[in-house]
Amino acid sequence: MAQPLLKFGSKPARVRMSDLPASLLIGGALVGFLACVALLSFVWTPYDPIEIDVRNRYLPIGSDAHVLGTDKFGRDVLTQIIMGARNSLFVSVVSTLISLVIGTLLGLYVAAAGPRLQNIVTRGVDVGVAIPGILVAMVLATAIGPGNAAAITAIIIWFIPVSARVVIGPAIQVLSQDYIEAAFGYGRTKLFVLFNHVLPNISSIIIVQASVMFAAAILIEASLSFLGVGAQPPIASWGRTLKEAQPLMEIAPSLMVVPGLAIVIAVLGFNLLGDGLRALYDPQQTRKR
Amino acid sequence: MLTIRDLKITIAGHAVAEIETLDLVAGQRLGLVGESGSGKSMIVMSTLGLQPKSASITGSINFNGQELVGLSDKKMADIRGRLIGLVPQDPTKSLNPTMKVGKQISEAIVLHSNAGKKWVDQRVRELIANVRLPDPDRILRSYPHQLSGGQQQRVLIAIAIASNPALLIADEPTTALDVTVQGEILELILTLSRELDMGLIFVSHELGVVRFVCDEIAVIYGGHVFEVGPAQAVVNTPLHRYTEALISSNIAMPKTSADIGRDTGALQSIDGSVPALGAFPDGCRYRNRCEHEIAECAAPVPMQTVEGNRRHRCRNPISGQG
Amino acid sequence: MSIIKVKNFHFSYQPRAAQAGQSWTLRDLNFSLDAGGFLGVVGESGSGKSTLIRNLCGLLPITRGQIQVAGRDVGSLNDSEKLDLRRSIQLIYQNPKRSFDPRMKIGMSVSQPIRSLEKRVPPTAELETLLARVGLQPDYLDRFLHELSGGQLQRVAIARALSVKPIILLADEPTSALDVSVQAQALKLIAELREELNLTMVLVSHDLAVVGRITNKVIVLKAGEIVEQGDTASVILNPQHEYTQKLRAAATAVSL
Repeated sequence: MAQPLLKFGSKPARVRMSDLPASLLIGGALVGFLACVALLSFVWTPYDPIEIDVRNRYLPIGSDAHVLGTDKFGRDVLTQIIMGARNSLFVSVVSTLISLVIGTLLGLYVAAAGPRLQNIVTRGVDVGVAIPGILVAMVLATAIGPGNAAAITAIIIWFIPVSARVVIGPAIQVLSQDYIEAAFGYGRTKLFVLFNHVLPNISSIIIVQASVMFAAAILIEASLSFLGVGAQPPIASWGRTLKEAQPLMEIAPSLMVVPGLAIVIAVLGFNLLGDGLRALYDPQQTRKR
Repeated sequence: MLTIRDLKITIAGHAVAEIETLDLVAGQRLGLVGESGSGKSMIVMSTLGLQPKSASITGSINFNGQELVGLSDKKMADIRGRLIGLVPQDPTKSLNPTMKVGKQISEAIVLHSNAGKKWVDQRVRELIANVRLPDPDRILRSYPHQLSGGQQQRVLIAIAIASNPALLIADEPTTALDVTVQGEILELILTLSRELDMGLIFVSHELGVVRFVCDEIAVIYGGHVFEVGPAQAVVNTPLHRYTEALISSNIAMPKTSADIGRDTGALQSIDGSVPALGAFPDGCRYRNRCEHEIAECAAPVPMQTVEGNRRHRCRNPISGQG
Repeated sequence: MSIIKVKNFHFSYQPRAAQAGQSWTLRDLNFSLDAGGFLGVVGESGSGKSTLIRNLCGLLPITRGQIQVAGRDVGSLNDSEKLDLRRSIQLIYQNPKRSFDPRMKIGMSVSQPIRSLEKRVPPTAELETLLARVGLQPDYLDRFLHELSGGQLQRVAIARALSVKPIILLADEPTSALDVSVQAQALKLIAELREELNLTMVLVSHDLAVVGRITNKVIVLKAGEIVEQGDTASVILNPQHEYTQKLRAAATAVSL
């Protein structure tokens, strides 16, 4: 539906970098970096990820041929991390986006429904949020076999009630506004109102929520891989790399530190991005007359 | 009792209010009239030390010998409630919804006195009677939402006068109330001011309301006092062009059948709207909306005293009155 | 010829509870309005005046009784008749700052009723004419909600309401949220447009003075019931019911 006059809120056309909150810039940079690394992995990695070179195993960080060293099979750690980045991002993005879409649709539906349905669904959502995602993932892994599919499905099941709950409150609030009633007054249907008036007005909340969910998904994926129910070899994953490095703590501590740090940076990046976006949207509300 | 001299309140570099002189004698009732954006609430909140953190205040607000500007938070908190009471605007937002009304009133008393429980309880009942609330037992036990808007406002008044303050500040106390209830609350405030010999500053955007309650009216626009004088005089024979415009844009109750019906020719309003902070013109802040602007209005306008306490700052005032 | 006819009308937000004996929000309303008339609905908070207005334009489901608009029963319309009703009767809200989607430009907001009810995109020239009629320059089309004052926004609301050429205009306390100095302007505009376009109008207000000045018929609501009705001059200047007298006395006491 072409609506050239529809603009996003009242953001000024040109915003200087210095006006943006620090968290947004730092978070954005980290996430951007992560995305670039992940994309890079499709065309090039320092070494073949499955190449084994047992004579050169346990090389420390800073070695000539291997910047971050090698693991117990002599595989290049940097390559493992880059491949792990790709996997983390893939699982995180796919599961978050799917659950956001479904959760938002569910949330909008409930917000527009009567109070009785709202009560039932809200209870259901509360229960859904209370179930530990890790357990769900374990069960799924047992049922369909371990791997990214189980991880993604588990995360989706966990995130749908979360995103629905985030959407319901603000959506109900927007629906109580006069301009919504006015829209009904000139003949708009509930469906139109939900997608053309409610959704744009809660979009900032969804976007902030998305960045937080990306961070959580990365952590969940790493946890699942650590437990062995995530991506299976030969697919690289930070969590599994971390797990494999655990018994080697005394021989080659860097093997634990590097993937751990990667996870921290990724999660931090998304969280900062979320903080920055929240800071960006909130002062705008108060800037209005 | 209250003397304001050279008061200047600034927010983000913009002057929100500038008052050279404003006085209140003990027992006197002064009304501050202005539209939204006039700065009237800011002036009154500053008197209580409740101005926003971003506001900087210079000048003097002297209350019975005590200088209020720059006073520490702790000392100000002692004055608030004990010597100066505040009746806030919206009763539904000013009472704690989770606390019984009786407890909220006794809290106000206990805050400024060391008296024992028995005395406090007695005082609470005394206050409830003062504000003409019937059935004290029921009122004491009720939560705010169980009372009507008018009853809630009476409770707020009771809290404000709990420690017998010398000055009562009422910030638009009847704006959120129905017109039939408004009359009763205004009568109550007037009566209490007389009975307790309490000074009153009544803030409102309605001239008619202020005329009902106050002896003296100060008309405020853009943070400046445009006109001050006895209530009847200001309303019946205004001097400042803004006051005149306010009065003529007021939609008065029809008195004869000629006032009724389709003829809207008599309805007048002021062109434009109140400028945002920082967008006021130089000199007289009203001049960009005034029909009677003359060249001299572009320079800062000093306050002129016409007689006694009748003052205004208009370059082109209405002649032949005052 | 009555263009609005209300007969034995009852309304409750919880119809089953009301039928079982709980209180009604609106009880046993009976009144009518001729084409071209200007009706004032006076009441304080809790009187049900806003609920009544929303029932008149069919925004709430009919509970009991009948509302006829332009000869048709509002409670028994099929879908296409419902859209017809939307075209013939429009509503202006109390708080103009909340009557528009803050993400949309003014021009987009004003074009909404035409897009929805006439299924076409109005050309800019048409929108400019609509704004001109309420005294606003064309460049307002490109502005956002927060850039306009309350008075200006209320004028936009009037322009939007009139864009689909309704025959009845309802206004729910259209000046209560505006600055005192600007209220008269909005009322004057409403009254002038009414004459020019020969509209039937219903104005809800708690302000007796406002109703007295521009309407020609009045109903007084108290706790969901009509306590007095008649032509404006009689009801305002010579009220019979005790409640109306009380309203008049209170309003006069603080009137200039």
